[in-house]
Amino acid sequence: MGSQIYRGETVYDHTNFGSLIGDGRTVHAGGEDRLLSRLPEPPGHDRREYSRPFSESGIKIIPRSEWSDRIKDQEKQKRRISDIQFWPALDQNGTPQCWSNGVAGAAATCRVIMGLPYVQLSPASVACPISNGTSGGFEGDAVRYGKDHGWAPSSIFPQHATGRSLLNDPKVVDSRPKFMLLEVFDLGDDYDALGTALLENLPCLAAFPDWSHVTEICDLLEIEAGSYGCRGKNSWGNDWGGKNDAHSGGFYTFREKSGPHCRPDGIFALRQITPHPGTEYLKAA
Amino acid sequence: MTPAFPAKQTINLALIALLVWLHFGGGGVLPVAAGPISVLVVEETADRDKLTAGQLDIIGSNAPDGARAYLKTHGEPDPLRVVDKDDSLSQDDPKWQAAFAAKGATVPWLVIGRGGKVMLSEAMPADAAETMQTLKRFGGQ
Repeated sequence: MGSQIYRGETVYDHTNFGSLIGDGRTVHAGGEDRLLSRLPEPPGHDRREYSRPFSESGIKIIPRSEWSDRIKDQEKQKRRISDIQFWPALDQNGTPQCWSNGVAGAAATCRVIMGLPYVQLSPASVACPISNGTSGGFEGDAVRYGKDHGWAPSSIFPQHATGRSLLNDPKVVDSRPKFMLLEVFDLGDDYDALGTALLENLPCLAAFPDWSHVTEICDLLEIEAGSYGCRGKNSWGNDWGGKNDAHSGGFYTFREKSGPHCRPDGIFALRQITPHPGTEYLKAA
Repeated sequence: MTPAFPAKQTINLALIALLVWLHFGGGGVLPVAAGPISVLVVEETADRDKLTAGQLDIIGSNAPDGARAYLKTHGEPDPLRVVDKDDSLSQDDPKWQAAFAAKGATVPWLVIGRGGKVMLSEAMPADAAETMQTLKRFGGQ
């Protein structure tokens, strides 16, 4: 068994995974009862309607023999995705919207990688039209909504909102085209593609079926020599998990090849979002 | 009447002055007043795996000596964009539209501007230190 702590962050594997899943539907974490609300892919759902396979990205899979050196270089140059995340982690705050939070978090990160100002995108602005924000969902539906309609910022569509009352608000309707996902790749459950995307600074999100949860994925890590894991950014508030140098929280690590619980599925990598400054939404955020 | 400084003499003096300036530190680079800058990097996102480590650092590094950190102190408000060559910047600030219009035929491409005016448009150096030197030439030390 490897280390359970990597640079101060908990590394989850088959031995301590139980602390994340509670009774399977709810776990008390970050001061709240967290609803584990990821649903399996619905029958007939077609990912090709809104995403392309990673093999069509033009990016070649980086051989594992290069991972260690590349990870070290990323760390040295502070080029990991988590290195630029200076904002607090999202907080689902008791809503069953993890499947939307993971996508909104990755989309906001994608903006910052493109040099755009950080604007908190409201997970609820995508969850509410799909599920009313009051029931679980599938992350692919959130990705598709972000690509087809875009997000509203949390400053005008609170991140914990439920119901449909804000959907036709003119400010919300006006904001969505400014925050649309333009290019997204479907990685399935391909860990080599996930590692490659993270090394190429493409923010990802992934579902963990046995956790019934979805989070943003930021970094590929080498926990011990030749043993890898991925660092995620959870949506259970800024006090949960590890913090980076900017005191941005929510970070955790899943060790690869440590049982089915820690195996990511439903992985998407985001590459482009509408280039719009969005600064008019910063003041009230 | 013969002018005190005929055109030919004026040109000669200007050439001599230029040579003297180049000799004493001009280095072939025209001087610019340092001030806040905005930086546009145009890439082919499908070719990100072809970027050098130095180019990736410019795009993504948050190191204290990197471009993102430098632009926090030497950049205009909203000082950075990293976009695909095929993107539409029609919804972005006009300064980015002007910078994007000045991009070259190859990628990655670097455009530096100030106040909505393009000051430099050139192929992005492979080496991060060289790019940082260029940024500092316009943005100051």
